[in-house]
Amino acid sequence: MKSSFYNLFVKADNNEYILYNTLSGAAFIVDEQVKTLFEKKDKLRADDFDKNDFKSFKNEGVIIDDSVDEKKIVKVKNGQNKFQSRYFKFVVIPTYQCNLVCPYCYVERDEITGKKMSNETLNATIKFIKKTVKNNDGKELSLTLFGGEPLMNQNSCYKLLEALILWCKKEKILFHPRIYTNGTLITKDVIEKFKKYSMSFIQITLAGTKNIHDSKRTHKDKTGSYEETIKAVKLTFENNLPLVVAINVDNDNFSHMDELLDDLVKRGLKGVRIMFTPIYSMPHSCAGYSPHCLTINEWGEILPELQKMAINKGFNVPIKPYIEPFFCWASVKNSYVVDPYGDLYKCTSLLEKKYKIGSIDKNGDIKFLEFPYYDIMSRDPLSIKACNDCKLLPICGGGCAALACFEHKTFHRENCTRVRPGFEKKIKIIFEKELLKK
Amino acid sequence: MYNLFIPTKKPSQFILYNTLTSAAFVVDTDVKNVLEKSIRNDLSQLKSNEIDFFKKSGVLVDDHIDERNIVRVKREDARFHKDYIKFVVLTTYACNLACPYCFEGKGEVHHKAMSEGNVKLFIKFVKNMALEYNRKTIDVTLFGGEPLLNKNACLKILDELFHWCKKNGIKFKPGIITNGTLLTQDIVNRFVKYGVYFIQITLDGPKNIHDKRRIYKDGKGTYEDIIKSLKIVKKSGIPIQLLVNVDKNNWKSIEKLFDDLIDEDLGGIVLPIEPVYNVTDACAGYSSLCFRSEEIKDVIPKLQRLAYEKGFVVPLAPNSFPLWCGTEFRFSFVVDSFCDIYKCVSFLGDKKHRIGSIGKDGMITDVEYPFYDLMSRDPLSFELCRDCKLLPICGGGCSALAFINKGTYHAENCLRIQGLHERLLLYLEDQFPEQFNDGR
Repeated sequence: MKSSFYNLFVKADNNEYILYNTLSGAAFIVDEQVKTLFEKKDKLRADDFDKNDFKSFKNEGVIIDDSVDEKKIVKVKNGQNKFQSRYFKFVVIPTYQCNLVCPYCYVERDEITGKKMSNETLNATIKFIKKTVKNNDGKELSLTLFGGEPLMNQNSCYKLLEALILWCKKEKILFHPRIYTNGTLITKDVIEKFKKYSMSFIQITLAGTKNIHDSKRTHKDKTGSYEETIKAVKLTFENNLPLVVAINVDNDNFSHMDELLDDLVKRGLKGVRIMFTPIYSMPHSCAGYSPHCLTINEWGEILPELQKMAINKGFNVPIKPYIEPFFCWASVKNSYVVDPYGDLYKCTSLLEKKYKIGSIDKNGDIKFLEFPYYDIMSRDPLSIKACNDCKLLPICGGGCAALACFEHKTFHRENCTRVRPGFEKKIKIIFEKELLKK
Repeated sequence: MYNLFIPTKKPSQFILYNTLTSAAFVVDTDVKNVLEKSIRNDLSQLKSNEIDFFKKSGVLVDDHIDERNIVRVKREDARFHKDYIKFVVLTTYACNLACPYCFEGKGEVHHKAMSEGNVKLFIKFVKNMALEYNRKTIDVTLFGGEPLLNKNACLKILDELFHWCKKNGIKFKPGIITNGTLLTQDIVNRFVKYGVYFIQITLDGPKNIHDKRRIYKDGKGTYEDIIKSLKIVKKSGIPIQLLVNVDKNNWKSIEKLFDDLIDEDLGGIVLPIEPVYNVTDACAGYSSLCFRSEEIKDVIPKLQRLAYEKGFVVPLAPNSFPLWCGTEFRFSFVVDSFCDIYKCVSFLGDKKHRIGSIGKDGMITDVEYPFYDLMSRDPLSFELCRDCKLLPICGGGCSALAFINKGTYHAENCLRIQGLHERLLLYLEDQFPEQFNDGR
């Protein structure tokens, strides 16, 4: 018997360790002595372990047969996630227009390409979504409205939602409508629409305390948007809609987060769901913003602290999903981004012609798939050295393909921004309760 | 990188075949030379409509495109095909024959027949898998041993799944691989009723040769019995696949077999010709009689052309996807009479290749490691396959043969793709006769 390649030992405070297996998801609290036993790696003996321990280690994939190469299992599961899933994910961009001019925005500004989706393209998009889901026996359909600011083209948003809700009901497909918005256009009417369409995810973004937010997320006339955004957050929260407040974190604002969180509490937003997201350095029109971005290591230090702080102040912080299998949606077969021109991409960070994978014709068909489709879809983390050697691979899947491409000029490299930063700290936070119980 | 140039009878002419896109052209030496300078072609020598045509059909590709990435994605697409599910079911390990080259050990290593309980369990498994993965077509091949030694199991499986599929709007495609000695009018009538879409029977040569190889346990030959069965099947309208196993012992006599078949009014049937391979330990003793790869390349295409010219239907079309066979297909299962599940008939009964078994609930129990080991096979990580022009239609070759030769699935095997050029040429002649009649 041998020790699983994917065993991680995270030191807890009381001389104990969290043994976490990234492939099976199993976790145990073990002491120094048990940890030492695992150091023999491929010469583990049942006799050295407590009988019951050994049995559960074996059942949970922590100890495995010598003949098993777990990387093969990861490879097959990865393939299944990418090609076998009956979950369909569409991101539709009803307009590239936006009423804000955030300096770190990576979607090309509307001064350059302020295109709204035409009615004809919208109809073609609806046909495309239905055909794709139907032809591939989809069971679940997730539709994300994205922009620009999607609510700058509300008619298209509602038409799309209306059409798909009815169709999914008829076809017995589970429908998850989602929206990413800056919030400034959310009114009581919009809230009523969100309710009507049973939105399953509404994300509104903050960039820090009022001062900082207002200096970044500005209207075209340079006025800040903090008060409007907070109002939208409140309205959405009070109507019990599935809200997530994304807080962009960078060099400028991370040290003021407690102020922001306190302000949210003061304004009656305690308990709101919060997600901290770093601002990634990207080579788009926002490239000039890079000096403000945090490095991966800094992010790894900061994120768990922020999460802990937010939890302590009574916010709802989704931390668990980060240790469940993650894979980049860009390399999942049934995942598409449709832009206002009816062009197809695999990721919202890859909205440039050179990454286009095809376009939708007026019948809702793709004429043919262009090479970037195959290039992204063939990304195989097991053939990437860094990933092949990495214990986090089963829950990371190689990371973000777009960021890998920006950094290395190819999709076929690793990107460690999503899972690795602060991973051990996160594991500790997650299993803290169990540690305390002992 | 996937352009093949196959010489034709005319020295200055070649067939250009792209194994990735299946595009085929007749080209002359000049065009061949331009295209073969694969990177940064000097295209000035080509006409602009030629360039367009070659670009459209994937013969010319942009510099930044690595076609191997397309192969990789096509492999996964084929592996996870959305509609199809395929089962091979072993109704018994026992056999009434004793062919010397049998890879299952002539039904003497294992001989268990599928019990009634296991038949029920298998049927439940088929239904469960089809529903779980929303399959539109169920392909079930009855296999053995000799499947008809357990006739009741065969008929029960066909009957139950035929009706169930009809009720559920699923296409049912049953087939049977049999030695042919136990086929009766009565059984064939039942097969017709259940929509059996092929019956594979084997003949290894004309009577005097066949009767030395495919023998009953008492040594008696089976030729006459099989010819009788073939006639019954032919009359029934069920397509016959008459497999001819070829090796050093019988290849010279195969032409006589073709003529005898025509005399028996069995001309025009589907006639796959396969070399005998050593795929398991059970048949290792026979391996000295198997062809080596050079001999396969030499003999098999000649026999195929001969059969073709005598009016038989020879399966020639190259794979249109980069998997060698169903073994690497996610939804393909071989179930034996113990209800153990394998991925390939060559692995039958050898527990180290087992991927699981059918549990009491009719679902696969624990998926065992060989499943992952096989399904993670990636020819793009094999040095030879990575640079091979045949990869898009070969997929790395037979994983069972790779295993017997190298002790791992993760190796190429080039044996069964031998003779491809000649086969391809014959295929294209058949598909585009007008291109060849006038010498083009």
